[in-house]
Amino acid sequence: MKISHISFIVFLILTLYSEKTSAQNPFYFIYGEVYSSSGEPIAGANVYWKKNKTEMTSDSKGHFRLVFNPPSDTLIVSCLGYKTLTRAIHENDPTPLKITLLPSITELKEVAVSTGYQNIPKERATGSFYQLDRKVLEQRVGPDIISRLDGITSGLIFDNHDIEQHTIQIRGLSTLIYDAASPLIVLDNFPYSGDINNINPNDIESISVLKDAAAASIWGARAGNGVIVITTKKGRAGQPISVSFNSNLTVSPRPDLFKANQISVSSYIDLEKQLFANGFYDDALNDPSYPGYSPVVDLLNQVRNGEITSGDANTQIDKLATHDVRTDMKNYLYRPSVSQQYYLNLTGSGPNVRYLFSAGYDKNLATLRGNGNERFTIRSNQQINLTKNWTLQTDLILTRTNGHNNSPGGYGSYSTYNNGMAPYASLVDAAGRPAAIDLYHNRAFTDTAGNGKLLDWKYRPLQDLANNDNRSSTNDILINIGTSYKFLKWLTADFKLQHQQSWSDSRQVNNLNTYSARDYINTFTQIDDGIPAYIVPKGGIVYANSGGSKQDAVRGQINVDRQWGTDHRLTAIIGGEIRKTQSDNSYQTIYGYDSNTLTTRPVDYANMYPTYDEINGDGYIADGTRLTRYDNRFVSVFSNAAYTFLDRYTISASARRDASNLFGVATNQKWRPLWSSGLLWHVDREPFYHLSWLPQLALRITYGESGNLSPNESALTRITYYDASRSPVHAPYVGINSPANPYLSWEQVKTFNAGIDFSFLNNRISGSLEYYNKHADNLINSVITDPTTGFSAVNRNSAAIFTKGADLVLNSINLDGNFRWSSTLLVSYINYKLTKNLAPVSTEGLVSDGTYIFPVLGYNPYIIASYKWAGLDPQTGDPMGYVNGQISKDYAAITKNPVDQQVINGSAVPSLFGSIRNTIEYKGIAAAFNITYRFNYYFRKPATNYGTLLSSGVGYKDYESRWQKPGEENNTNVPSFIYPDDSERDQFYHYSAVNVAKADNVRIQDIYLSYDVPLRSSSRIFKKLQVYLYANQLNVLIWKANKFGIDPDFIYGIKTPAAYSIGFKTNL
Amino acid sequence: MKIMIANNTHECKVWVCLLIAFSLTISSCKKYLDAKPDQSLATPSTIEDLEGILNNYSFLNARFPSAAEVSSDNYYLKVSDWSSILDVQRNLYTWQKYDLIGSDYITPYSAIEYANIILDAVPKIDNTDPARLNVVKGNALFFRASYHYALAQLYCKAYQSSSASNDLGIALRLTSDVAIKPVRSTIATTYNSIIEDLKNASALLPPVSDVKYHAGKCAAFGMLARTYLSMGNYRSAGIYADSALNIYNKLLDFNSINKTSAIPFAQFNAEVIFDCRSAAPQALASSRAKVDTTLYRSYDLNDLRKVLFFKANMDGSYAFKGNYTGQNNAAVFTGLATDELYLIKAECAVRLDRHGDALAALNTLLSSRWKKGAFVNITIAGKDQLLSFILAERRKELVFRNARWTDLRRLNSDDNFKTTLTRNLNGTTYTLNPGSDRFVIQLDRSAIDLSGLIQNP
Repeated sequence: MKISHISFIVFLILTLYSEKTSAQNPFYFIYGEVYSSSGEPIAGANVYWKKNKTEMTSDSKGHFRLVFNPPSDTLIVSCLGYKTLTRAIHENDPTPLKITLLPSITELKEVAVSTGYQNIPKERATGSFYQLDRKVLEQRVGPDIISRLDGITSGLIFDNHDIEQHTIQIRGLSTLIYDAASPLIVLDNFPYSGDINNINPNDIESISVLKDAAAASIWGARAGNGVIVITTKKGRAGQPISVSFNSNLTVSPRPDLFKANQISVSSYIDLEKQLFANGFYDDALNDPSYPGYSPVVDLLNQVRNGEITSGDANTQIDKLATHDVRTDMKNYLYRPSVSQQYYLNLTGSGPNVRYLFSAGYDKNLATLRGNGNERFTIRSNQQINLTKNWTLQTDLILTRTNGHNNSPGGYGSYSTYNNGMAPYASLVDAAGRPAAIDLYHNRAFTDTAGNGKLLDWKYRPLQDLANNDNRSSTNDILINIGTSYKFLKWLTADFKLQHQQSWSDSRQVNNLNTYSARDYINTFTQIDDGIPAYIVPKGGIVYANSGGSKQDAVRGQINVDRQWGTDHRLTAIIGGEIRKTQSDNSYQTIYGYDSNTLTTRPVDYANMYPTYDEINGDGYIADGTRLTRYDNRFVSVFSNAAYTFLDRYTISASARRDASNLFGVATNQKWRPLWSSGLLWHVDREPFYHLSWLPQLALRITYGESGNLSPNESALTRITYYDASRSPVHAPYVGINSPANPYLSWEQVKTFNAGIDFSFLNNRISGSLEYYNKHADNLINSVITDPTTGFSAVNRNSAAIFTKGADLVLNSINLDGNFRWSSTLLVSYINYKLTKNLAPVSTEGLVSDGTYIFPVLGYNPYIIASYKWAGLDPQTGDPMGYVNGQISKDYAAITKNPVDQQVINGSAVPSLFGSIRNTIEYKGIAAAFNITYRFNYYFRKPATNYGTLLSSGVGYKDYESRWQKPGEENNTNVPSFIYPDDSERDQFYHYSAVNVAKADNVRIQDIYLSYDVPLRSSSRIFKKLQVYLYANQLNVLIWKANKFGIDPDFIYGIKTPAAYSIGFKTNL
Repeated sequence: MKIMIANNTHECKVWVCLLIAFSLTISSCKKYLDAKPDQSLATPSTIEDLEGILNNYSFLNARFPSAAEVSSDNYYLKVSDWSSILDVQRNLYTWQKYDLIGSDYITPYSAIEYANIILDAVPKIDNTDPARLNVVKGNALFFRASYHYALAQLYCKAYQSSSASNDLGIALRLTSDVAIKPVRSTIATTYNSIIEDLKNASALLPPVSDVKYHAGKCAAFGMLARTYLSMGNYRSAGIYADSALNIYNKLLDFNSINKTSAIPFAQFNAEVIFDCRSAAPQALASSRAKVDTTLYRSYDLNDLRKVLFFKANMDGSYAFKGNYTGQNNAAVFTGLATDELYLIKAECAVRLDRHGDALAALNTLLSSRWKKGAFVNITIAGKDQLLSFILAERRKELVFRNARWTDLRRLNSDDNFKTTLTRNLNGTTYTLNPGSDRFVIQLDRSAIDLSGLIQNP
């Protein structure tokens, strides 16, 4: 193929070169020293003879020794952060040579950004990058790295409009498939396929976010959603051994459950009484599977059956009404969470080696009692010069995590499809012992079933909390080996190998004290003549899962970095990559487990057995054995080149082709070339440029294409095998996932980006402004089809999204000197909407919560749309809308309103957002706080759906202000309660405009404070000691647009509690 | 210096070799990409794959619609129970014009798509064992026909030979290609397709299937008998009922069944020829659905069905428990059993003036239903009286078996047997007259909106 041609050409070039270097002149060593303008030695500076092409790096004292080829040569000294110096050296010059480097003018531009394939000096980068350095990252505390990006990254938003699914968006949404909408995360050089929480954030040096095509296209078919490149810390040349230690403690109070938006206990009881009188519970009361019902229903039923008097019942109900289950939850299920973090780092360098070792330990006791985890990380990184031109880098990361997950669940997790935990339930009885909750079966049944011959059949959450034994552990190993060889001053080749493997194991041991085991055993117990026969052995039940995953990747790459004279410079890479990720999982269920003897007992999976009292008919014992394997393979070739002329103009281009086994589609579809090109112009370096107030100005323009793929798509009919245990007839079977789609292709995202970088007022103010637009086309979308075809929905490449936006970054140093105050302002504007949908969803009666991706042509996929609201009917309290402009209660007709008669509220994700981060430093004290803002978006507040209230007991505070008598329609918008329930009426109210509010808000998210403890210079132990305090998840709303008192990030009321940390860092 | 350069050259060569080897690897990895991404994922390409689809009981056997039974007159609901069920069932119960049908429209077609995926894949399978492939194909045809039949009982008028080629039938689906737009056929085409599929299936299938959730020849003949009966083609219905009974004719002796059991009949019991069922509709939950009082009274005290089919509720009403699904829920048994075939045989025989055959079939069945020693052979002499008797027995035997709705539609064209149905809810009376448009349920709204299918009146 083409690649082998290329390598042949490379081979020829190299062969020619090695011939030429054979002729050498006599030489001798010349000594020199590199200093900064303040007189401090500079370590790690690159010293290079222009003619002789030999080079050296300065040591920790700034010294270097170089072979000199008399009589003269030109020395080029460069170092990151300093201006490159060029000086002619003659054999008569005094030695040692004294070299002084001046700092480069803009701090902003001295940074090199990593794409995962190469480091590009920002000064010559055409693409859009946003980089977060160590200093900013270390001003945040927490066990994971990704959350540190929140609120401080230009163009990136943590989208938390859906409580269930928090996602990261870089410059909006480029796909309609939720599972394929995350940015690609790259750790050092390769996509990270493990659990990103395995990475210790203390090991991270910097993060760059690749936002446009020129920056991200090198990642090809996976770059459509943007790329986050995480770079780990490395040992530095010329650095003596240094040991640092960091430790902190984070405490967070229990969540305030009483802030939950829920129906009151007294209203709930009144409702139960009313429903009981209407016969609503008769079905459950007579159901032969004995489902659970609430204590109040139980009492009312006892009255009806003549078992107790109504007076007794009322006394007991009144007593129940005084209790709120949240008090018990707070006391028995929750606790303040505590996290500890310890991190030790050792780094240094020798003559031919740079090294770093680190070890970390994190421990977290979660706010739910019984849950927690711990993590051990060990990392070792070496960079070794094998020979003059050959280097070897090795990196090893070992992670072990242990978790325990024994909580029976927190607030909101106790419900079944037809029953929920009553809000007045008690988790403990009068004597303080775990109390039974009739969630699965009712009291009357569990009291008497089996006449004492069965195992206790009552469900007590706190008994489960005490007995649950659900543990998991993961061992993860990540090995990176890289080696590079410098053929020529300007030509290097390198190989990188990565192997990642993880082993995870989880075991849920349900002993006989857990409800789950007792319930399952009882369900299959047969009682003959008072003797129980156990079809499921009387013993513990163990659910075990062990899995392994592995990723192997090899990359070969040739790098060119050549300068001709002072005017021309070419940097280029070309390479190929093979990557394979594999995972295996096995699941197993073990019955009759005895933890003392470690014995188990066999069960009969092959035959059907009746369930006790036929509560579930006949059934098979679940055989939990299941094996799965995933094997994803990728092959890619890529190239990127940039040419700079006169240090003023840079043009760049990249191309990449990807192939994958993911789809099994035809080869022509597997190979998709993706490309980008870009232009950078340093306007300020033009001879004609004389704007003295704006000394630095550069323009960038890029355009390119990247791709996106969903791992769940296929061009062919796809089927899945299931094992016998999941079949009602106990036969292994096949399910059909999706019908054939012969037209399947990958999604493509074309991005245009234009930006200016500027700096003025003596570099006190610097920043960038970028405009971009993105055409995401060929998006796979679930198209609603006529169910007559056999599928109600199929996925097709059928949609397009057009996005435009702008990102502004403004850094300012407001005060300088002893008291230094600097700010970073981030402003992002984004607007995207669906521009194509080949199978458009009907806009008849268009309503949406904006919670899920909802592709309506011409609107944002997270659109919130509503029915027009005409208030409540003064006679009945029925909600009213409009049909043809007339007030109407014909809900069926309202749902057919044309879209122009609906209220289009707007997007559920903000279109204007950003932050202002202020940092103040004064004599070793540093403070940083971040104010985030989000504007121009909407949310639908929780509104009681009477149908849901009936089936699972879920209702909100608005129930209290429902219409009950004429006249109240002037004060409330909550419809009257009716029974039987009318689901169309419920839907109309839920989706009416009256429940939508503006979500705009400004909040303080976190505050960081550190103090460098002054050390006497005689202190031999510490070189540096810093104490820091950090508060996160503060969610202090400075301003919010809505008048309902609702924080749009927590519309159901319970906020994530703030976390307070204290810690110290020290260098030895 | 010399040595260093030599070293350099050597290193150089090593590296160049490495680079070349790597580029060759990259360019030759076509095979590498052929690996299956998920070992449990595949495209249907082997006979095992197709057999696996046929084993998908939940999708193929348990997806029959229940709307026919929900709309029938075997039971009644109290207002409070009626209030607590889904809108669609509330509307079906009161015979309202309502088009948000949901699963009773959707799931039969998804099962038909499964069958069509099998049928479209069969010709592409490397055929090493033709007999095995025939069974797969025969079953797929049988499922397709059975679901088309079930849909035809709900979404188009009862078969009338005079108007069948003009009346709107259902949308037949005979391809797995979802891109082909559905259109409604005529009733004649609908029934022709069902019969053709069943006849083709019967030629491919073994006499009896190994498992009762798959079809054998016997099931295909039984289904043909049922189909012809619904069309009023009594000659063919009788022939196929006979053919099926010639292969398999076991009846349960109800005397040997435990009367106190909550679920008296097991799944796959001896009478079952082919097992399938509907989802469990809320309306038919035994806690809600009260057996029609007149119907319950019509069972003789010595008729064991009175205790095996029904259980007393606290309030004096009765609930149904005689489900052949073996499930303790409201799922309706929609499969085939020998009892139904005996009844078809008896009815067809009397209609075709084979009085003796009719009595023989009837007595064989009833003697297994009555208390031992209490049953006296039926000897009714008049044709009309015997037909009435057999139809009454048909209703009593096939109660909650999804047969009543089809029988009502069929017999409404017969002045002797046409029935007006009524429901009472809180003082409101709902009536369903013979020949009413409401004997044909509305197609689901989505089919009208998305494919422009013609809606029923």
